[in-house]
Amino acid sequence: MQTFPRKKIELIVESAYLSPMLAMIDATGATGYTVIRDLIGRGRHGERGREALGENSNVLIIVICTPVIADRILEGSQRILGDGFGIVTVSDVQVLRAEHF
Amino acid sequence: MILDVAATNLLSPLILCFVLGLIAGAVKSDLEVPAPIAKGLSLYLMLAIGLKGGWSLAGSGVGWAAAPALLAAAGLSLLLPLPAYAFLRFGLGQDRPTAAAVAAHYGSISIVTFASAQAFLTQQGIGHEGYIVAMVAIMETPAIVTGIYLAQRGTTETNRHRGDLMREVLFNGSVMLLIGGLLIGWLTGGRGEAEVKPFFVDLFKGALCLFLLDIGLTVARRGAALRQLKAGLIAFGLMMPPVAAAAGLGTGLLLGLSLGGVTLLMLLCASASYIAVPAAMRLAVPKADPAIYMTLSLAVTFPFNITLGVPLYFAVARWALGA
Repeated sequence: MQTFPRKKIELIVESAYLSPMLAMIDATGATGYTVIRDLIGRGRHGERGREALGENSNVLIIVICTPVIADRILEGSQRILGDGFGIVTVSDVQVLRAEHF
Repeated sequence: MILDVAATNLLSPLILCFVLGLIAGAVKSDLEVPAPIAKGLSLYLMLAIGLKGGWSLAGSGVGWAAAPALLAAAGLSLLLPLPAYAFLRFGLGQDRPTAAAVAAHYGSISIVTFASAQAFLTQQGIGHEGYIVAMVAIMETPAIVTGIYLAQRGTTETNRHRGDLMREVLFNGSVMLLIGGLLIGWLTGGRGEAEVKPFFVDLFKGALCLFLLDIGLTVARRGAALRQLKAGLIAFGLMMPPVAAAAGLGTGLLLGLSLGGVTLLMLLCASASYIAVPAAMRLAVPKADPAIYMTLSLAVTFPFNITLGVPLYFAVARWALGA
């Protein structure tokens, strides 16, 4: 079956940053995104997500898009995060329906 | 007498559930309240508090008499961070962003502290003005503005998320629920109360027990962070509530509130936010240390207020009013 190359960006950020991130992603022209809330994990900033209070939990934002839009999202995410916490990764993926992304 | 009242407060199911959470957290039990359930509980608590305030407003028919109280609430929330900031910054030498963020937490309020105090007053058979709930809603967010001002004063840093923050201050979820609940309660009055009372009134304390269990777990998990805090900061977390409560006492007396009203206003001033303000501070003042503001507000000030604070402020209010 024919597949098409796209970029997948995964952003793990504090839930406080969710709405500025989504606004930024919308502004880049990305056709959509997926969000998973209430993640549990541990990193250099300690354990996260075990506390239900205080918006301390992280969220995962997944965007699949063209390389041009991926660049815009990467730049935008750095602008929003500054030197704050956040894990941003990019990978190459294959999609079935090119016109969706 | 005061000791009696304090003992009744300490041995209530609410406080004991909090202690159970503390113990479970301390022994690293796998007990956990899932985040969506804790969020659901806090939605329930806020809507219930709003509705109850609205029903008592509908019954008493206040009106413009409440206006000075609402202005005072906004003023307290805006101004209380100032002495907190001055002490943290110049007394303890805390860095500017963290001092500003902590100060913002102490200007805002804790809804669970308020609910626990309300439950305590009900147990003592003491009522309060319905519009106190509107004061709760109004005190929730102005402190965020003061905190951001303090953090950015004299720096060239401008805010990158101004639009989001203004929305957060004006249309914050808890503000919407408290004010919305108040309006729904006021519009529907006694008829509305009869319709939804089994859910929003009768179950209230039980839901509050579950919520306090979760806070106990959270506080226990913060135990490690607590040991890393400087003694001066912990002293601040214990001293700021009575100082702020004194401001609430003065304001309550000036407004001519009842015994229940004065006690609740003292408690609102004394309490510190741990839901609305931390989220706003993460965005607005990312350089502030969350381990300090969350730990102070949740692990120091919250337990102090619900165990010793409630009976203490009640006793002082009763003495001041000569009741």
